[in-house]
Amino acid sequence: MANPKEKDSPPQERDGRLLRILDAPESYAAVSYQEVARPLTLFAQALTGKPLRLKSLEASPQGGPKHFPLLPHTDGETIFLPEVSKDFPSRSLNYSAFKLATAHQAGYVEFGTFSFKLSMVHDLFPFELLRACLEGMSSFRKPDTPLEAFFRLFPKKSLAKDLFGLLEGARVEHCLRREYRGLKKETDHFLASALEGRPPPSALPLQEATLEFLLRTSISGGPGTGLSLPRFFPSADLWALVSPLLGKGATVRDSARTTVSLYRWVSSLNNFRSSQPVSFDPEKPFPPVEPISSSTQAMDFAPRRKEGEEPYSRLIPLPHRGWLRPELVQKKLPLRGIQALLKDLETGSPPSPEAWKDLLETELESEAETFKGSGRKVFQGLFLTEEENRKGPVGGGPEPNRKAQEGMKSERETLLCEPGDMPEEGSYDYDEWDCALQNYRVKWCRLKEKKTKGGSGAFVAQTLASYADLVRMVRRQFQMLKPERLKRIRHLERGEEIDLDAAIEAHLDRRAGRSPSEKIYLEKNRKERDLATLFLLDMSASTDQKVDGHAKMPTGCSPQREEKKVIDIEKEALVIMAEALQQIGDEYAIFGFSGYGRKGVEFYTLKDFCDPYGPEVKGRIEGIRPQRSTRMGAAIRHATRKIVGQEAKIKNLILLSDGYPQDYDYGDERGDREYALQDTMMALEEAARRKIRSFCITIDRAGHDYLRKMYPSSRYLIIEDTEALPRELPKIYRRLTT
Amino acid sequence: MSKGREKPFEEYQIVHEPYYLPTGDETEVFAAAYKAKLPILLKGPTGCGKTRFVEYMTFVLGRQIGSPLPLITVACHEDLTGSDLVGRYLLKGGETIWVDGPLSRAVKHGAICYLDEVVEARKDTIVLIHPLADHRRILPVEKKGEILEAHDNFLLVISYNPGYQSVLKNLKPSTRQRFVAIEFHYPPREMEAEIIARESGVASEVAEVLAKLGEKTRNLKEEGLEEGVSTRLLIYAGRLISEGVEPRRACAVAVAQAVSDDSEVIQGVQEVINSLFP
Repeated sequence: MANPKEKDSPPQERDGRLLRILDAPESYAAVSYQEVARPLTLFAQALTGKPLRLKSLEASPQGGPKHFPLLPHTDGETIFLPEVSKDFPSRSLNYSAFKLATAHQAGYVEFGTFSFKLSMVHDLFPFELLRACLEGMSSFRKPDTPLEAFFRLFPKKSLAKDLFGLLEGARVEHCLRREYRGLKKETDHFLASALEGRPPPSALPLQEATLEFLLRTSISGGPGTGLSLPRFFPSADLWALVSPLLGKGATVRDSARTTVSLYRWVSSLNNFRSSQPVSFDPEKPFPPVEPISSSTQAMDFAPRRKEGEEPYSRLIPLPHRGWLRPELVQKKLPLRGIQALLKDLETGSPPSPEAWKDLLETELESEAETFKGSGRKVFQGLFLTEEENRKGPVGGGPEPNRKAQEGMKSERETLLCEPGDMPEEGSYDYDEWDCALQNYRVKWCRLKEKKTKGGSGAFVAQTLASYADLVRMVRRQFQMLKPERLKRIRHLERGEEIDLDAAIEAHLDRRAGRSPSEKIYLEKNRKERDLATLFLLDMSASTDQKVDGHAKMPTGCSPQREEKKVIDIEKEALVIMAEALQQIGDEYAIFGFSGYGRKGVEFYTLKDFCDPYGPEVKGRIEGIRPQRSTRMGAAIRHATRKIVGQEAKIKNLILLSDGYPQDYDYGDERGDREYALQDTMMALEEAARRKIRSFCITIDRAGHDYLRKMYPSSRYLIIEDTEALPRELPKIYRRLTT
Repeated sequence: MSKGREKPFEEYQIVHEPYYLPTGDETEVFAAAYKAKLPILLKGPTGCGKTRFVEYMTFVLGRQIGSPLPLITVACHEDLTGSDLVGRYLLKGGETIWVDGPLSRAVKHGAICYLDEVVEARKDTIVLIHPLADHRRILPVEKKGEILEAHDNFLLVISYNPGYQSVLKNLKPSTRQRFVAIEFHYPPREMEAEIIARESGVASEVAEVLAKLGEKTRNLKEEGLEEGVSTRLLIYAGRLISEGVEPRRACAVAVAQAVSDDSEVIQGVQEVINSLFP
């Protein structure tokens, strides 16, 4: 590869360039995150029994503490891994790096790091401090997790974090070693290589040196590390504090309490380097190492720094152990409880022991909503939504309301008076359920059927191209479903072939003296799948938003896409779904809805049951654009009408939504969700009475709040990661219908 | 060396005690139902011991009544017709002779008739067992114009796997409500380890790790793994290990490759295997 001109350049420069080429990471040995995402996701889920997901580090809310290297970490639900692993010379080692990082982060989840509660350490801190920490936890904007609150109890938060991270990292690592003996060899190898790049304690200021020492003892499993340490450094005593954490039965409680003891010791050291002149007593340079057991052994709160002392700088963890980042974890907090308690404290009334205990027992919990239909758990943290702050009844209508009745009466009169107000061609009137009246507002809504502006079909082609892998897989899967569903219909009075068994039986019957059956024919290749599905797409204005988070490559999609909007993803999902359905041959229809106001509900025909999936339908899908509001009740009723006429035995209605039902006059007050919800629920019940099973797929993460009321838990699914919709939709359909 | 043998249904008796480790009170319940002449439905995932349980109970009950009971098993499928169960006329030489089906034979001779995966059969076939499954205990044989009254020792047992709750295939309420239902699950870890050790001959430490592997895979709900790995597959892995196959490889063929064809799923499962076995 030598360039002829190179001969003329000076030797050092040439060598430099050559060296750079030789030093370049061998890119063929690099392993990318995309390659390992799915197997390692399954790996993490199997180990922990929790529906963990994996994401690349770029997708993390903050890649890492500022100015520090990006390392794997978790928020208790998602494990974040680097985009690429290339630090090692072989593919298998780079792959192992990913695997170990995953196992370790999954280990934090499996072995209880996030089950930390303040009650585990509250006896070690004075009351005043704890109160301040509660205040932090009750902040509305960004409440602390219990672990964060714990770290706030220390004057030097970063030192406490590092200590805890180190101790927990070691504890979890030893748990992993005990539980998963197959990981030992790889872990040993990575530990050895991780140590190579690290500074020896002797090169560090005293506090950092101590932490480095602690890290290394946790690896070596004993106080001896073969390193040079300052004279009288109490290695054995420090080891005595650390070693219980590495044994069976150690929990996060032990790590936390040890953190407190170690913090006190380390923070009492003067942060000089061992090379500097030190002005302490050479005969007894270090304070004694003692575990703390009560709050009377007070912490040194006034940070004093002597001349020449260095500020503490953070410990970089071992790469495969990653960062411990409790501030990212989703949480469930009894905010009202904390606020009430604080109020008590302010007014001087002491908290009751039970209340105190309850609050301190808060741990990091997330509510897992199980969706049985897909067989996959979708993790959803419970957020405080505005629902909590709203007054008014939730679930179940309020008492009949005079005002509403009066209002309806006058409206109806107005309706009857309007001349020429018969529905036109393609217009339909629907009742709407008023939960206040506990009755229908008759012919309250007018719905009009419309068509989208057709497109050229380029969108469909483009979608198929950019999701080529996914499309291939989906086509294959659905094709495999197909042959099973073709059945021989036997015992027919006429058909394409003779049913041999039946014919013989007939012959035998005749011989036995009985009259033979005439049903001795059969037909092949008749469809057995007797179902019809209607996909109803919410085309409201909110779908015009960009998909949140980064537009990183979802599986199955080629790179370099621009940021997409929700409606685009929905369209893509429909295209892929249609491909699948074409393979399997089921009856299906696709409609969209939006509109504005009760007289202006719009219902878009994209593909009716009888329409072939041809250029016209493809063009209509392309022409889908975000519209206005979401008057779900009327749309569902019209969809019911559309599907009820189908002959199929099983009728499904799948609603694709991005939020809750709303319209400016959907309910007496704008923003009155309850009315809209109740009407939608009633529409779904009407459909159910006509044997139509409904199912809702939404990308609205706050969906649980209202979907819970409208659908049984096995009938709705919240897709966290919008971009996963094209992949998930066929899966859901398959699960529903096989 | 035992050669393949032919046996008529009635002579397929369970004379040696099969190995079965009860996980609950299923044996008592089954025995009580037998004495009360109530038909039984066994529900549970594949490979968790239902068939073995039936064999075991056949043996135990045979011992209790003083003579070995025959066990007649029918694997149900979509094309199973009524004649397949009850019997049909066959042409032999120039004559038509009636041949009993397995169900008729069980009814006549007092055997336990086990219909496995009953939900696969067509509904019009399943209703044939209704008269046997209620207080009448009779089997009408339409073609012969006869009614068979069940032998005292006869018992009807059916099984199915509720895990694949498909819209298109499930038991009708009129069928379900004629059976006493016993639920089966994969056994808890320690018991599963014992079963694996016993059935495969592998050391108990290895059996424990295999049981742990089973537990971990049951955390996954992917394609083919909706119910996780069955005890049966874990036993297969154990058998291979006791024949000298490397544990990681034995589990690769008996577990990872057996449950899925999706390469990423296989890889994920294999990583779990590799983490458990050094």
